[in-house]
Amino acid sequence: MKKYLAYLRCGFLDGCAYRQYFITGMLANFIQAVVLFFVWKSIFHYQEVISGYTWEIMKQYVFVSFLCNSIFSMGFEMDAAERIIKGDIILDLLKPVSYRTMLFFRMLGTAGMEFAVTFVLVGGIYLCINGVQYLDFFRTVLFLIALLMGMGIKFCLQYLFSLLCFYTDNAYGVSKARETLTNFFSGALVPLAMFPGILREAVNFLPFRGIVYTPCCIFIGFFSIRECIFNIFLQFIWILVLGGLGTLLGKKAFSVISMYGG
Amino acid sequence: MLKIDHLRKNYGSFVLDCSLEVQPGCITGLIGQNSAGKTTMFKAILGLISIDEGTIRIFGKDLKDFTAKDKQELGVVLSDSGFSGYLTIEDIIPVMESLYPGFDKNFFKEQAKRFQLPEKKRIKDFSTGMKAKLKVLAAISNKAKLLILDEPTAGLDVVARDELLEMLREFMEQDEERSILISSHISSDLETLCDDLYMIHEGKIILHEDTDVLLSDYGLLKVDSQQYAGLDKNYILRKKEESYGYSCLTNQKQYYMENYPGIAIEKGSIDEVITMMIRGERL
Amino acid sequence: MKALGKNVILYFAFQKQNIKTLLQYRGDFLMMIVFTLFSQGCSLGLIYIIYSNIPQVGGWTMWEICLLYGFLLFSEGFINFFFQGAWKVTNMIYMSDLDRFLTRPVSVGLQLLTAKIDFEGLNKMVIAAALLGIGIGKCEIHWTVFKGICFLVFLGEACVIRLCMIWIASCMSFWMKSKSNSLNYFVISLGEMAKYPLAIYPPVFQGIFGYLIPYAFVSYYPVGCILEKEGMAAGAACTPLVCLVMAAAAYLVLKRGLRRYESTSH
Repeated sequence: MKKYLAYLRCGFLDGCAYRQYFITGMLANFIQAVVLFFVWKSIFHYQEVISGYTWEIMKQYVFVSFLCNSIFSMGFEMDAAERIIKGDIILDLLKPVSYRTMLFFRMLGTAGMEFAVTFVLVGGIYLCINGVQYLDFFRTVLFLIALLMGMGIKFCLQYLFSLLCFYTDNAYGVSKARETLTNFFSGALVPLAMFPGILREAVNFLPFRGIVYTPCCIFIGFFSIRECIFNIFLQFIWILVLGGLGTLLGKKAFSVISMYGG
Repeated sequence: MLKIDHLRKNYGSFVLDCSLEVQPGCITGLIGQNSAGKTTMFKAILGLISIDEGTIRIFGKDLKDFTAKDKQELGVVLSDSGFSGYLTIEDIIPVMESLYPGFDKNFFKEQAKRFQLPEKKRIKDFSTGMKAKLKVLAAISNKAKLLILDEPTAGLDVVARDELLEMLREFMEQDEERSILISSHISSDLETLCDDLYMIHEGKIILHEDTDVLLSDYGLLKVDSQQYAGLDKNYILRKKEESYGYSCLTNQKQYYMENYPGIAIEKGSIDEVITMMIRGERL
Repeated sequence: MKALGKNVILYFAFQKQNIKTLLQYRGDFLMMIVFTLFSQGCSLGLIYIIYSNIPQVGGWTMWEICLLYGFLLFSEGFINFFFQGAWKVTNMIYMSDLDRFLTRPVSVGLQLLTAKIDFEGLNKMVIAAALLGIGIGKCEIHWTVFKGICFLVFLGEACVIRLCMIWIASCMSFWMKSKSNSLNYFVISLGEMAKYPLAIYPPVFQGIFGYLIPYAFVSYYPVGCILEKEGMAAGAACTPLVCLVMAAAAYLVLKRGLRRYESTSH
């Protein structure tokens, strides 16, 4: 356990040291959120309800989705990918700790730092604009659980994408693709309920919705308690599935190293 | 060619304070330990760092008035930068041609062949020696009037170093007006190549002498304490305590040879002179 | 004039070198095309989804937004492809590449601008051109020869203004002590705002992100003018001026920055 705590600390310090990237990432997300905020505002000016959303709900959605998306926005895949490309990953694999567990604890450390900053910041802005009127204790607890689960899914996805770098040198491209994919299909940009017809059905079968859309809907109160629990369960299933996939692909990818190693 | 007058640059813990001159047709060597201030001085000469006091003139022109065009006459090798590693020698030629009007393509190709630099291999796959030779070759192919070389021989083996020095000698033979300022921490490189030498230590020039004078007139006297007491100390620059007594650095070897026949006098190598200048005490 | 000619020749010589350098990533080229297509597809998908729910945003239809988007994407691709070096100034300063540039008898600005090439830019420009084509086809525009020329000039100006923005942001590294500089990413991210009509933002935002960082002149006014929307002509007429001011600022920033520059390693 002590080893893992060391990695946790390491990740936290990393997060502090590279705070500039985190701030940049958050700013980019923030600009996106601000843009969407005003786009929606101008839209709701003409039309009161869109796909079941009113302006009041939408305001909350924009904030909460920004929060969910910003936590742990600085993916570790760039870092991991660089180590893979340079070959430093061998050093990681030689350590007496599972590679993925190490990544997980480092990420947890970094995310802890980012979470604190984002939470205070966004929470503050949220309270300023919306006040406490929509907050409900039970829902908030469920929301936090869903948020943690969402981070788990995000971690698994990043891990999967970082493994891609065994096959390509384009780390930036990989991380960008992962980001775009999650942004779009997780509901970070638009509530999934607004997706047109068949696409709306399709996204329900993808893991991405667990990252932003599920926690958001729980917080806003779009889900009944039963739906909340069902959705959290779904997140859990996805973590298991993606985690298993990661193990499988990891095995295959690491065998590439032993091939190079000779 | 190049004249540095009371250049001062203050880094807090490190102060560079020196004057230096490179005469037309001469190779001037700058010798000193690691972090003695050699690279800082070169960077000042090239205008890469601002200077606090003093003047630097190249080709009689103040460095502040130096234009991009004047740089055509300079050939520069800095220790920590080179060519993009993904290119080959063939790839650099067109860029060099358009950068420097004086670039001699045929000479460049010929010399590359002579020093066995592969034309079609990526530079990142070159050995350290090949990279160093290429850097110097690129600098001399521009028909520059003044070459400024910072540690061109660093990390090279004896043969590669010799080849590199040969390249520089040939460069000097082609035109009498050319000059070189070269730095190194390996004295034997400079000993055979340079016309005069500057020794730099902790940012200051501690010795400037013609190489010939340095080799013919400087010497080390090995004396016991009794002999030391009877020594005429007018021409002793530094002394250092040894187990047998003292060793003394002189710049008038002949004088002591004639007047003190009993004393062991060694012809000091440049390394020994440097060591004495730095570690010995003044009288 | 002769100097200009020399610089143009040098520009191509440098870029040719860059292309050769890039060829080693040949395998990734296809992957990059897929990534770009994919991420642009997602961005456009967002617009499509918004518009599938409502008819217009701030009085602009989807195809009109497409034109705004096309202007932004085209200028972004233009920089990526022709002057990607503008992004790399910070790297150049800290990797001491700038030392090498400064000892050469050629303008440092040119060497910095051509320090890198990114083929993704070509890809973006193609997508942008397609978008502009579709947008023009779907919007009812009364074309005249003059308007056609204006359109091309506006597009060129958008590229110049944006290049200057990134350039200035990157050059701030001369004044900053830190080894990385995220200002240029910040500036490019702000482009997100310019994908929608400026009028939907509150005045403070408009002032800062439309005029102070002159995104309004990159897409909003030019496209508005082409579409003959109200109150756009004056703004569009100002774009050449903004262009000049930005170019002058970029030039000054480089000059001042170089004067401040101190090579780091001893």
